[in-house]
Amino acid sequence: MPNLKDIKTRISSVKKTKQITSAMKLVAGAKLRRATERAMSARPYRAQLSDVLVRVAGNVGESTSEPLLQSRPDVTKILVAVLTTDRGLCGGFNSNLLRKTNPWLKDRQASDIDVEIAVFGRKGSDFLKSRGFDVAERTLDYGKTEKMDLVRPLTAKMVAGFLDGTYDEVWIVFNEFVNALVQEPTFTRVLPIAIDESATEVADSNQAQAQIEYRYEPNADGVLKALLPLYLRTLVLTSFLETEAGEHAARMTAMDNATRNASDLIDSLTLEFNRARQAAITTEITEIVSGAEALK
Amino acid sequence: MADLHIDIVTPEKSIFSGPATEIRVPGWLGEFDVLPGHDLFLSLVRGGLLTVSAGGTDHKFVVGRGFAEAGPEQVSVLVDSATPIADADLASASSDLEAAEAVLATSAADSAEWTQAEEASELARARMAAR
Repeated sequence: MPNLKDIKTRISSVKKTKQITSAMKLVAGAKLRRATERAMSARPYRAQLSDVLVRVAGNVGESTSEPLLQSRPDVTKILVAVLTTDRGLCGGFNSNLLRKTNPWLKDRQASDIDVEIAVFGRKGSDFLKSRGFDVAERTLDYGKTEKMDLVRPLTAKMVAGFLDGTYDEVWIVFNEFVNALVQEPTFTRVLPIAIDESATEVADSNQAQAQIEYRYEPNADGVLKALLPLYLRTLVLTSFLETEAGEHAARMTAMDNATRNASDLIDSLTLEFNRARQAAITTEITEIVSGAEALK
Repeated sequence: MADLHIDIVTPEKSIFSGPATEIRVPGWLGEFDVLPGHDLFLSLVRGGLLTVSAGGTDHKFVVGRGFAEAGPEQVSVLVDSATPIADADLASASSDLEAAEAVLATSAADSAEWTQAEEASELARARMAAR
């Protein structure tokens, strides 16, 4: 027979947990709305930029010797930026990503590619450390930093390392925000920049326009040179924004489930409590009645 | 003649979108005006003061670097930052300019700090011009 007091204590502790999870759900929901707004308002810039880039690249033609566009035949060292979160309680958000990252990195290492890892977020940092990866750079507690202040130095490092031959490729690993319920682990090669791949839809719709000659200031090559770093920065910024939106979405879903589980638990504990109380009352009555019988 | 459609966007958000009669952009090789019917033109943009004339009033923005794409009916300006001058911090402009020029004088041309300082000085000058 479970003790009435024990059950009562459990019920009240589950109730408290439920309050916390439902509060976290609300907070995550509010943050999610802001994060998606930010991700949405970054879209026009990205769309316009890739639009223009396709046209400029089309004009400059295949002959370009722009180093950021050149892929290298032998890849010996790559830089991988892994974007995770600092805090947990967001369901499978980090583990889904890291579970895919682990074999991906192992594959590269198996084919003798030197992998340099720059990780964002405590969760990714802890995971990769425990799997024995050598993490070159870790950025923790980055949630409060302005995204641009993270993106600028990171892209500067990517470009500089790529140009001086330190890295032959640069990748970014993050959770793509598909919708509030689905976040898709994504591996994107950001350097060398692949214009056609990343902007095919734009290219198709603008094929006619791509033929039109623009006048450039200072000149087409100069413009292309300036646009490529901007494009790279936008790619990186987008992945940060998607990670942020995805984190809050995942946390909201996880906390929603937790709240529902807590309610179920409270229901079944209450039932158990009522049964136990009823049993106690029955026992008491039996005792009184049999005591009275004995006195007759 | 029909109005131009102007879009001013930064990586974070869209700052201005709407019709205008004229736009003056701080281009790479100097300021340029765009009126409706302009030739196709793509220019890099320096930090500076951008003016959009719409409905008889001028909207001025302090913009960072980026680029502008002009056509007969529309102009898209994509810049790092864009602040309406009403919101810009005009008071700190001269001290910012001094700080940037100090860096320009000491660091090697075309180094990362130098480029950054040059951009900062362009923004500071734009804010001073706006005063």
